[in-house]
Amino acid sequence: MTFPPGKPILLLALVGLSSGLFIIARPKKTDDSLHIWVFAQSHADSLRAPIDGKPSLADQYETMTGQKVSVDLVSFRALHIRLLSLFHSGAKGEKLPDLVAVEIGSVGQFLRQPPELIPFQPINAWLERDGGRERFVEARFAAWTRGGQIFGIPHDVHPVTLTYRKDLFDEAGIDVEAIQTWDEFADASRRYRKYWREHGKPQRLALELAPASSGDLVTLLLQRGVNLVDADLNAHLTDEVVVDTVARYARWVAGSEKFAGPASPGGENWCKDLERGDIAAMMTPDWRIDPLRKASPALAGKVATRPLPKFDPTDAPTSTIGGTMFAIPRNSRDPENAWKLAEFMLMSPQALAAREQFNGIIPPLREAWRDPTWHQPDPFFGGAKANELLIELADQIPRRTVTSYSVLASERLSFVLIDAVKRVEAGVDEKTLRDQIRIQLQPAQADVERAIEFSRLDKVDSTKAAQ
Amino acid sequence: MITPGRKLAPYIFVSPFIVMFAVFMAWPLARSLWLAFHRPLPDGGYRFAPLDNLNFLIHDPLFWFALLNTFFFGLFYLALQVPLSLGLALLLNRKDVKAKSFFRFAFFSTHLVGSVFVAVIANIMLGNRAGFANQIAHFVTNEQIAFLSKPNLVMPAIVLCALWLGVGYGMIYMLAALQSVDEQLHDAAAVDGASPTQRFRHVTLPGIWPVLRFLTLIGFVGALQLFELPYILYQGNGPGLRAITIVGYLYAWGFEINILSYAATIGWVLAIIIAIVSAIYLRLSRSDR
Repeated sequence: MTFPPGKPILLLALVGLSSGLFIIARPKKTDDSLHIWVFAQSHADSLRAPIDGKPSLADQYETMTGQKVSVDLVSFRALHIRLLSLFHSGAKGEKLPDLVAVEIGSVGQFLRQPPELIPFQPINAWLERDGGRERFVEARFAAWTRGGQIFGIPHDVHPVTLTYRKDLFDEAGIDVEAIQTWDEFADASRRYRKYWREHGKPQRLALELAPASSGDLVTLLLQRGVNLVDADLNAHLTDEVVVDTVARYARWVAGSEKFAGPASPGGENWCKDLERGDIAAMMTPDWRIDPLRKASPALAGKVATRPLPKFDPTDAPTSTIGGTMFAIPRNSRDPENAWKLAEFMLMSPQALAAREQFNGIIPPLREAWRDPTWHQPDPFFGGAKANELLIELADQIPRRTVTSYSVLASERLSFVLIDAVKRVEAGVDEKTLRDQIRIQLQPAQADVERAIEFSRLDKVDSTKAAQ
Repeated sequence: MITPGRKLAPYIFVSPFIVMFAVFMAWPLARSLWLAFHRPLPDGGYRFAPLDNLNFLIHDPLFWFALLNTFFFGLFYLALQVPLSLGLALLLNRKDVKAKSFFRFAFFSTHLVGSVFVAVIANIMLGNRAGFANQIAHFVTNEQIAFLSKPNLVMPAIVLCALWLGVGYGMIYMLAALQSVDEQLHDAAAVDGASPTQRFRHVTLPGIWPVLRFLTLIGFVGALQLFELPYILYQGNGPGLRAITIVGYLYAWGFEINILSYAATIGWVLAIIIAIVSAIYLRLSRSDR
């Protein structure tokens, strides 16, 4: 028998056919596990590592329900891009995780569509049914609420305190605890710099602030109640509060009166900056406290922490940096079942105990704050109850809204900041500086509004299309 | 006589490539072209809007900023990479240099590790205070250099890292070109009294000219597609967006703002720019000949 195209083709065809048949015929693996995607090691640990010798949360859930839980640690960017790609491709069922952690800065990209089409399951009904909403810090829902629908379970609150080298400030004769406002802090910091310059340490800065990126500036604006883009997609870059904050900030990080600068990048080098005394104070959300304790045990008893000074009496005594929410994809296998999983893994007493052990992050559930572990004197902070302070501030965090344009607004703001810093370095007077900031903020606002309008048009057109 | 089955054989042989190419290249390209002429609707659908994305792009200052930044990088990089590669190749082409293979490998090895690795290492080395480069700077000048936070230092830092990656790569090409220059021409020029500079200008340079042209074109096209090196080095687009490139901007619209149609438009405009640059370059090269 001959095969006209030749033996090699016959061989290739046979190999192709047999492998194809094998793939088709092989028994399908059924994966009944519930899948949780997380991007942070500490989140993964709190869900899947044994707790004080007892079974992990995942194992406890399996024992209770007979359902296996798989906690998949996916790197930060990969998780968000994978999730976005799955939503774009219309994936359903087991291709999607049952529960997924989304970082607050990336939430906006998932919430662009009208509420009924957002790819996450709204949780209002479950919160109402199971009496959960009032248990949480309400402000924490703001970032992932659209049209009154809540699309995620907050994992944290991340209130911000000012952690500082008490020993160094004391030596310079400055009582940081008595300071009320940022202006007073600025004056004290300039005295601090002068003192250490005269004592042979000219490199010592009083505060950690980035001079060329707007991250810290956004934190301070949030303290003043300004979201660069609000939930209704209005940009607020030209707000007079923004002008005032940029002007003050620029003088803090540049010019002859400068007292703030950036920390060393990479890992926990910022802890070493504080340890060496190169930077004496830092804005610290709760997630920075535990790494500081671990990376710089030598600082025990030398540091203190306090609420943020205010610009105005109406400002919050704190701000918020970072955060995570857990969401249930709308088209996942069994959203109701995923909610039960979320309740156990995130809101149960066992979950709160695991959280405390693995990352020391203040939970967004008020009932957890009653736990005595959050109220112990902390030797690292000279016996002060640092966690108790964080808890007091947790209920006062400003409402942070996140949209897909927030990053753009923040990047445009950094242009303005860089320009302001240059002008301060050139010795410009206060009025000119503020006028220039106002002028610079206008095109920034226009750019953000153009980007918003560019996508908002879709809504208008779709309404027309529907008619 | 070739039977019909035999005639079919070549097509069957190339079919795996054709299928793969169609699925993973042609279809995504066609889809992205389609996207570039459409606008997303809230229900996940799209509507035909042939000029909307392009119109927005033309009036988008950040796109032009990213484009200029990328061109600036390309020119800055090539202005250093080509002479450095040539210089290294000339050194390694000398007869009195020992352990040539070792040096060739040493200079080329950075290209093998890839830009992600280089960006991670550079981020650690250039960091404030604890960074190796800053420790040396502090030791020598008692000053710190804010490579990663001073906007004006962003481009030099990226170019420095790109050179670390690319000089060895260029050197290998240059070395091959130098070795193909006829030795007799050098001897003849030397006999005629040509100085080393004259020999380089009139013998070596014309001999390696095609490789120089190729490297410049490839380098510039590569520069236009730069993304991961600055993105990882600065964990984003850098202070004041000074590390943003066209591809970085495309990524931001596609995966941060989540408007794929505009990201596709940026991608196609980039492809057109690359095609135009290449066409101009090839035309100039032809007139050279």
